[in-house]
Amino acid sequence: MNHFDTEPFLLSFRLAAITTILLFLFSVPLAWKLSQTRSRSKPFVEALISLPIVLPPTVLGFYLLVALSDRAPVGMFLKEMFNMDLVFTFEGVLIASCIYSFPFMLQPLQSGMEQIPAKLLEASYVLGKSKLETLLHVILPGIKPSILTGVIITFAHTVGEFGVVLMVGGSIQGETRVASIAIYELVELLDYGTAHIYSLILIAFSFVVLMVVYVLNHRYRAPGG
Amino acid sequence: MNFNVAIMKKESRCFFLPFLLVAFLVVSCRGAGEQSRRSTDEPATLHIAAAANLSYVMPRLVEAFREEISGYGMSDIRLTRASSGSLTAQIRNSAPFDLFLAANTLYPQLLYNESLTVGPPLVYARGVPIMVYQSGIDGQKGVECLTDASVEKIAIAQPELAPYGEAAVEILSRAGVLQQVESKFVYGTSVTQTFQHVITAADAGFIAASLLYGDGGRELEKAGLEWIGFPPEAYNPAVLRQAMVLLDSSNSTAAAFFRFMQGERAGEILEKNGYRVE
Repeated sequence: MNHFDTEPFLLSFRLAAITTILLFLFSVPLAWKLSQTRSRSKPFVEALISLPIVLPPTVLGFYLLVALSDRAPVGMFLKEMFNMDLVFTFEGVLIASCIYSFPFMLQPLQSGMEQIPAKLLEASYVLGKSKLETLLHVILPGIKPSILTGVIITFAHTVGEFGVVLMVGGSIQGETRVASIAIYELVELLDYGTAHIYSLILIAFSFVVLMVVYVLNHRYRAPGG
Repeated sequence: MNFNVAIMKKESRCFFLPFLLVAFLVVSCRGAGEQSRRSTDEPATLHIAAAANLSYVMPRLVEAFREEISGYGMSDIRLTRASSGSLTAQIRNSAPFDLFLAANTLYPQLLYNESLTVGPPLVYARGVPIMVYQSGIDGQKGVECLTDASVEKIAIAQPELAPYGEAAVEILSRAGVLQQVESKFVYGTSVTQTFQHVITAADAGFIAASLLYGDGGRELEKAGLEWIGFPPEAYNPAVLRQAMVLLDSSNSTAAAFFRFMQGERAGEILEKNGYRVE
């Protein structure tokens, strides 16, 4: 008995790729703001964004389900304005993933940016570069290891997501049945053969991802590297 | 200094190229997927919400449907399975299902009362509850064996969500042992999870007879488990009168499948897979 299907993996990877891109775009300005600010509200914002690390996925899943349902104000608004259904759809799971994986992108970027010497930025401004140019040509190239860590960990963390997706997305084939949920279902159906194949693929994937992160970290930290 | 900036520029451009590439790939494959789904000639995609007890029989029914009903040989049929209770909750939250096959009549009836269905529920089969137990237990005696101290864990599906769990509670209560064994319950979120609990860890459990047909039956043998059925007076058969409702009036594949489920061929398949059909 072999029910191997690539669809759950493609879904997982598509979800992870879009989540990573969106979070990268959101996180760069926010991480920059947080790394430069001395405002008293900084710990508040940091704590808020780090919540998904410690919260059980069920808490997030529960509130997202309540908020995104087309009976709630937010869900109703999106439904009326854009005819968008967010519960049990790929788009809904995408929103959930972005919230759930936010700290995994933001934290490496922020800590990388905090380590950029102020001198370098001043030099760039003195040479007449705008803020955007400084961001693109000085800051981002300067924190490459942090960016790679953030991108890779966010991608992998999204692939490994389970509870939130199950609560917000249900298990809709081709829409929200990602690899982790497909495994849960296969185990429940006692189709251990296919469950092994899916699981081994994810183990291999996760191992390679972590290897890459560690190799990169060593390379960038090594003197003269 | 100028030289340095130039190098940085070049590096940063190369660095972001992979991101753009991935973004492009993701967006393009999403678009392609949607286009193929909305092609006009093919029959509409059918999304079935099926109660967990149908897990093994559904693929057989779908296969027969594709073979028998002309024009639907290539139809795209997608299944979502869970306990009838969770599927009902999902349908209330506007999950995109076209057809709902439940494990009882109550849940589809509730949806019908809330005007979420196309027409009233229709019974397609009667479910058959069984008890599965480890070979060391004297299960042929009936559920009284569960009061024995050697039985530590009894797997049942959550009675609030799964009709087969409700039937299990009913069986134990009619036999007068419910209060003695209640503390041994391990709850599954659906009848298939309960089956998995019995196969892997519990001493006994209550599941649907239909789960013995398929991967489940083989795993049961491998685990050295035995099972017994129950006479109709041991439980309330009305609890497992399995009904279906149509949820989308515009989906022609859903309507065709709804008709197919009332036909002889579907009845035969259900009977061969552990259900009773009138």
